Amino acid sequence: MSLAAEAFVSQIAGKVPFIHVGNQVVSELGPIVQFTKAKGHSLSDGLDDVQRAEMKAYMELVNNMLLTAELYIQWCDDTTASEITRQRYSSPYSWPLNHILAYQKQWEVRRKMNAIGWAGKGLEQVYEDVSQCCQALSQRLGTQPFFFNKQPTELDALVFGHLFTILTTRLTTDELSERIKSCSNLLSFCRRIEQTYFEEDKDKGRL
Amino acid sequence: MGTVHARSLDPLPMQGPELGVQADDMDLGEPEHEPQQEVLENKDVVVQHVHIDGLGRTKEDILTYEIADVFQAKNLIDVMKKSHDARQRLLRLGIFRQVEVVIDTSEGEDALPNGLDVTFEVKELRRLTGSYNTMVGNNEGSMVLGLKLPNIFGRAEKLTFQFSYGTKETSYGLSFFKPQAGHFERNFSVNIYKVTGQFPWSSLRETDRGISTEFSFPIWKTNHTVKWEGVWRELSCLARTASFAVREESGHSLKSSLSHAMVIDTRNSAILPKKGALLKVNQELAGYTGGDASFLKEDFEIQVNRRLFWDSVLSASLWGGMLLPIGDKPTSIADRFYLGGPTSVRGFSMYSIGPQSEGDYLGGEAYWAGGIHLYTPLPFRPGRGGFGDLFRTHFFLNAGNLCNLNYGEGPRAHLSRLAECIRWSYGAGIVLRLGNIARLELNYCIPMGVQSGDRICDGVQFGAGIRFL
Repeated sequence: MSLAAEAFVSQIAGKVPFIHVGNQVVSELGPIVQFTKAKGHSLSDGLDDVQRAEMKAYMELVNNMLLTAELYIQWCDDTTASEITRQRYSSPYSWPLNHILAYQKQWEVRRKMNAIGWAGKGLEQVYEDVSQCCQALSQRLGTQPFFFNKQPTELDALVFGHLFTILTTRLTTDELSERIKSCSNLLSFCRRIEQTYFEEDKDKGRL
Repeated sequence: MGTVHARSLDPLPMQGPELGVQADDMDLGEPEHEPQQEVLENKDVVVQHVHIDGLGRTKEDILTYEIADVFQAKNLIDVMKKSHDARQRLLRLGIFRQVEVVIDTSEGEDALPNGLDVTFEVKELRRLTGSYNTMVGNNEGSMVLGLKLPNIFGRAEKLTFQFSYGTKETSYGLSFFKPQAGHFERNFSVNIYKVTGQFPWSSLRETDRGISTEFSFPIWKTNHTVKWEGVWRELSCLARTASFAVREESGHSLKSSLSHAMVIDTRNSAILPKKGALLKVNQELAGYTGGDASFLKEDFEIQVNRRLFWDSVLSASLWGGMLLPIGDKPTSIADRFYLGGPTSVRGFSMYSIGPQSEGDYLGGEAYWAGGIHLYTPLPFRPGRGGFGDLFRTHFFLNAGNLCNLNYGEGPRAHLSRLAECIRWSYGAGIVLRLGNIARLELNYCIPMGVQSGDRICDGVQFGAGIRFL
């Protein structure tokens, strides 16, 4: 998604992703899933209770690990923050608003990192955590096409979203995407989903 | 000769021995009274010295302009008149709590036989004053805490800090004001502020943080103000049910604009004037000094008042405005005009006329509104001479229109657009005047020409504010 549009949509709904149905705007994965469930569609209908609990656990792992690592690398690492993230974040605005908003967001994210105890972690430690998370996901996926057998579930959507973004976003080093690529089944999983569901967007940054 | 105290000269006596002189101050005997009177009245005098006593931090150079006229006086009555004027001018600087004038004969070696010395005894305001007020704006009330530092550097500069907590808005602001020495009406001020407003008619919340500088100067009978303003505006939705059109407007934007306003005001009062007229023209150009809002905005306000038979007043007013976007970007909801409510076209809900989307009013790029009012004293005049004088009954006819123009068409098409679908209303009510600042109205309104999408408030409508159509 282009950055100006991302800034724009995050202001409308507060958070990406969001859907606009009729008069309602629903944002974030949890509420969207609930919304579609209320309309009668659910991806995880075929799962039993044990599997559903497992799915929730893995989704929590992705949220706590991958999401936080992404935020850390973008905002708490000084080189990435100054060269890439702040420029991107402030691009839709004119001077001096761009500087004010970028520094405000950076301060907010760093405060959040302090609160959850990630401020003391170095970059290497964060890369290690990401690797461990990928190992866990890779083990769960094994040789199956999706995380829970033949059908895609919310977990697949969430994992795809994060991994695809990491693999296609340019950062100062390629360390993060290398770590993910080292788990080959995750890489082929992402490719498969991209080809099955998103093949019209051929120019949107291939893996 | 005794000392003449010229304290407060209302009304100014113009003939005879009653020259504002207190009889007990004169310790002359009766027989000498007659010839001394002649001396006081007709004798040419020369003002030799003018002193100002009681200055602390005020610098004298700004005061010399205000008192310069006193030296021109040629006889005693003139001296008293000119010193009274000088006293008013010193008071309007806003740096003295009290000014008293003492006129005496000159003494000393270079004293002429007909020389006079005029002394202004002044008491300066304290360095720091605090205040607590309640304020009534357009349909909202607020509590205002203020700190004022008058005359900080000695030349009538003023620094004010205000914090206002209201029913709809919370804001704070810091302002520095400096007049030009000798020409108090030419002044400049710098303001830094943060203002939050809630607009339920558009389901919008706006937070403005800005800085502005303005210069005011009079040219002949008009008063001009030139201002540069830089504002960081943050718009967000007030409710989950806000329409998508309003959601699209939310976000951050920066407006940097130059504006010019001209005011000619000959009314005798700003609230419930009895005579005189007002013309206010305002233009604003945004985008050429930075920022991302880019437009040219014009608006004007005309009001004419005339006294009729039996203490009643006929008042007619006309407002209008146009917003022209420059470049490709559409205009922002925060810059557009709004119409309707107890302070503009009565009979309609607050700002609830014109383009809307799912109940949220988006404002328009062009509008006009007019009103004709007849103000009369209350029937049977209860409380005459006292409280009853603050009330007026009023009969009104209001009309207006708000729409978006298609700028590709010519002015004729624009006028026809503004002339179709006119909303109007008529009714009667009671107006209460609050000091010289605000007024309250309670009206019975009948709205007409209502278009689909407008929200009306027919029947009884209450309004409070400073600026009414």
